[in-house]
Amino acid sequence: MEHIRKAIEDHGDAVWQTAFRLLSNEEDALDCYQQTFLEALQIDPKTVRSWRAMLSRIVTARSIDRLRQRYRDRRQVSNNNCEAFVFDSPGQRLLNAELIAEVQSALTELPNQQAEAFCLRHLEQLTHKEIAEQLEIDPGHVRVLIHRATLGIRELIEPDDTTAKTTKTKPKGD
Amino acid sequence: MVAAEDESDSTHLIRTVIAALNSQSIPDRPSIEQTIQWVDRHQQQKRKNVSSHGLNRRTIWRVLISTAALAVTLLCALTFSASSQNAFAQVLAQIKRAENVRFTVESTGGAMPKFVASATARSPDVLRIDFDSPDGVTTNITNYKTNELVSYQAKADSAKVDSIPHNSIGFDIVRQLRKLDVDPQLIPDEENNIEGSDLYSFAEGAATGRLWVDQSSKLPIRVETKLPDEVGGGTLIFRDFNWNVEAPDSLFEMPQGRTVTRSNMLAEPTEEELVSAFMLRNAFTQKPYPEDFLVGEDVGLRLGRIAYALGKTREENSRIQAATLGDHFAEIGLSPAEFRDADAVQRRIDYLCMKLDQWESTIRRAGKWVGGGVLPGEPKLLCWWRDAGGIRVLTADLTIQDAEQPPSEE
Repeated sequence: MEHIRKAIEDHGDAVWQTAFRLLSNEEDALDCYQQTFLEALQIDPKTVRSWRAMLSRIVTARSIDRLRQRYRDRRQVSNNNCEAFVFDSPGQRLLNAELIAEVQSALTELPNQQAEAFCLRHLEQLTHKEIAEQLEIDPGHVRVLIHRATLGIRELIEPDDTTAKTTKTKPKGD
Repeated sequence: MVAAEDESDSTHLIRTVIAALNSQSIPDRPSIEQTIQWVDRHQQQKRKNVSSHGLNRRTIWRVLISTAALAVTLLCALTFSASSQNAFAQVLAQIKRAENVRFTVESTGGAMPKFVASATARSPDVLRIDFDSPDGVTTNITNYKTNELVSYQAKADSAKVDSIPHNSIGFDIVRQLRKLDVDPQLIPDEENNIEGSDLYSFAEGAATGRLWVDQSSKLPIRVETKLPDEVGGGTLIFRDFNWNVEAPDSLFEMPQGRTVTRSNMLAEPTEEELVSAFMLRNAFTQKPYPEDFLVGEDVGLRLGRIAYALGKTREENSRIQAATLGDHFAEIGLSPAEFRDADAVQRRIDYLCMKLDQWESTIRRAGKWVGGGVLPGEPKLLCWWRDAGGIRVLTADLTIQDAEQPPSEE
């Protein structure tokens, strides 16, 4: 348990922030936060090279799982979630809230590895090497995954943008 | 040039997306101590579940219900595929002649955790099953005459006795097979991978299974039942059958000298308990019922979350429960003395959560939840189900009435 205590002390904030930023819902974030440390507890600490990277990978994966479940169940994002957004103007606040919902939905449409790689790179700021280690793939493949994820998100949230891909199709798999 | 614009668009998109995600105001996270406590509690609970029951109660309930449903399925499927009656009639006769049968039960995961356990059935009355767990062997003895499940751990000096639903089947495949009175259809030899056996298969809806019978003894040597996805999926394999073994009476009796705790946790849930579970929920919130309030395998856990905030300590939750349930304790089945005992209150909450889980499976199998968006107290339909007496209807004013036919969903 001592190593988990240290992981919670050192990385609890980051894990919590990742879960909430991806889920925009305190209860779901709490579930993923807990699940992350419970999963971490099952891992032999001697095999962990970077707790930060490992916890980032787990919480991202669990949060995306939760998003998939949410969208699969066609549950609406709770109206309460709007209270979580702080913006200057009501208009901006609404636009950002809509964008967040679109991004969350888009992440559930992407293949798992693409969604995870995108979040680990851009939300968690992990290096390609760190992501490759966590996903157990080649670093070159990480770049491909992130590129495809970015294109996929563009397709999914900018379907009417003529500068982007114009057809709203399922993003290309791995 | 186009590629550069594309790259620039992507960079802009990523910045916008990340800025939006980062712009959310993030609530305080649980404290380090709280997090440690949860992790620790979860570990303890996990150990406790495995050691005291072999399987936890929610899993046992699903097994009791889903395999019972599968037995019905098997029976129906076989009724419609009676094509080689004489051959299988001999098998049934042999099964019914057997008194004690030893076999192995293996779960491949899905609705149940993965496990391998050894079982002895004195069908149709009693089944003993021994699970290997990290804390040693845990024994479950199911008595179908008294409808009781006895659970105890070899090393412990205590035991639990649960009432179980009438006509439940659980892991007693022999009892299941004994109930058949018609023949299944034989599968061609080329699809059978066990030499010297005949293979029969059955399928009905999402449930499927296969049964191998030894050609010389005419007794089953292997049965595989695939649980429907709607109950979590997974396959139960019954193998290594040893028919007509010696088994002393003591094998099916709880060893003397144990402290026994009795529970109705696994008993058939009552309508009063269903109403109490709704009253518990409504004591904590008067919001409209969510679309999925009584849908899914985790309804009890979700009710538990309403009555016990994971972000708060046990003491804080007890204070909130006492304040919230002060006017409602009788409605949820607590006596005044129990209400003054925080542990008793939490036990009752856990009990009602379990009962709601059980009702969810009843309503999923034999009715429908339609109460999404309905406010507590309204005389509007929440759900309906079929029972032995006909159709029963629960409305949001928490009354239950008979109905002539399934209500329309409007």
